[in-house]
Amino acid sequence: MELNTVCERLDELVVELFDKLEALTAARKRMDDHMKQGFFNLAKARYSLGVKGVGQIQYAAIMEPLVHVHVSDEDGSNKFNLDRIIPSKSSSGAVKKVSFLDQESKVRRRHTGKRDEENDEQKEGYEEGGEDDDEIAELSSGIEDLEMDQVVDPHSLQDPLRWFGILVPPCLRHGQHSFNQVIAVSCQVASLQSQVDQLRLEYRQLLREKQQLLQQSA
Amino acid sequence: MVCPHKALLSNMARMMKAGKLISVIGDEDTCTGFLLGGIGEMNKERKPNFLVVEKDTSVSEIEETFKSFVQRSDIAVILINQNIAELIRHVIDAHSNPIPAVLEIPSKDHPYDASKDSILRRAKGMFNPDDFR
Repeated sequence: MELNTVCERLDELVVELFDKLEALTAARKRMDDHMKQGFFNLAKARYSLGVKGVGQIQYAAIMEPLVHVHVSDEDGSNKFNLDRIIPSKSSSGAVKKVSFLDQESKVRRRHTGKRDEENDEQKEGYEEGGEDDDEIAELSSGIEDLEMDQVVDPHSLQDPLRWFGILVPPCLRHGQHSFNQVIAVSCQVASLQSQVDQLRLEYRQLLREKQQLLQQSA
Repeated sequence: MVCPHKALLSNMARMMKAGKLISVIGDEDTCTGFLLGGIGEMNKERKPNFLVVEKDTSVSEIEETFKSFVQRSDIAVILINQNIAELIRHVIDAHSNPIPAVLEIPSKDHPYDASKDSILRRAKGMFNPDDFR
């Protein structure tokens, strides 16, 4: 590589580095603001729940992470992408209730149909019998659905807010929102830090190449 | 009978799909906040991905926990309060691998100081006056 090309690349790297540092400082500022807001909301929640009401005594014994980070390689540096699971709203967080309610209505309809059939003539009874078969088929398929729902959702992912009670103060909810934003920004900061580190290494390597070229030319 | 190789592969595929974790070393409020955000995990060995640093927590315990987080392959980001990071600065400076990324964060009592941050100090060290002679 020629000396001029190396020098130009070094200049480009310095400009790029300062852009990244500016973005990093801005992201840090955002993170600080969200954390400040989060701490303030936690303090308010502690005021209403009591001194021991918000602390490590309330942490659940079994925890499942709701946030995952996917690391991907991008131009030599790592990019941290956030992936969030939204827990179910029910307190148990387990099985869907919809299909179970459907079953009840189907069973009730089936019984009334049978009672009517006993009072009617035989011809009509044959027709009803045909409808009955359809209903039984529907019913069995419904039971399959119900069993599938129970199999599909084995983990009870609980919202950490529930560790502090069912009716938590709104400030604790706001605090959770602030910390959710901090987590999102922290992934951006981690990506920017990785880019800064990568640029630093590239710059050092090119600087060494420049020194060698200067020595050769001298 | 399930082939152990297949079981291992499926387990790895599940882990890759699930992604990595964020861990925290901080005071009680910092840990509570981040756990509210849903980063907490208690693994099969009952080891958490967070450490609540209290008044009686020793520096060696913090150091050991940090080292164990660095060695864990399922952790992508380590968040640590800057005042606690100051206690184990030599360990943080020695960590040069890109994953897990170490982020120094402010705590309730100590605001963030960019001049103490390991990454920014390394970036500052790029511009050595001897290089420009």
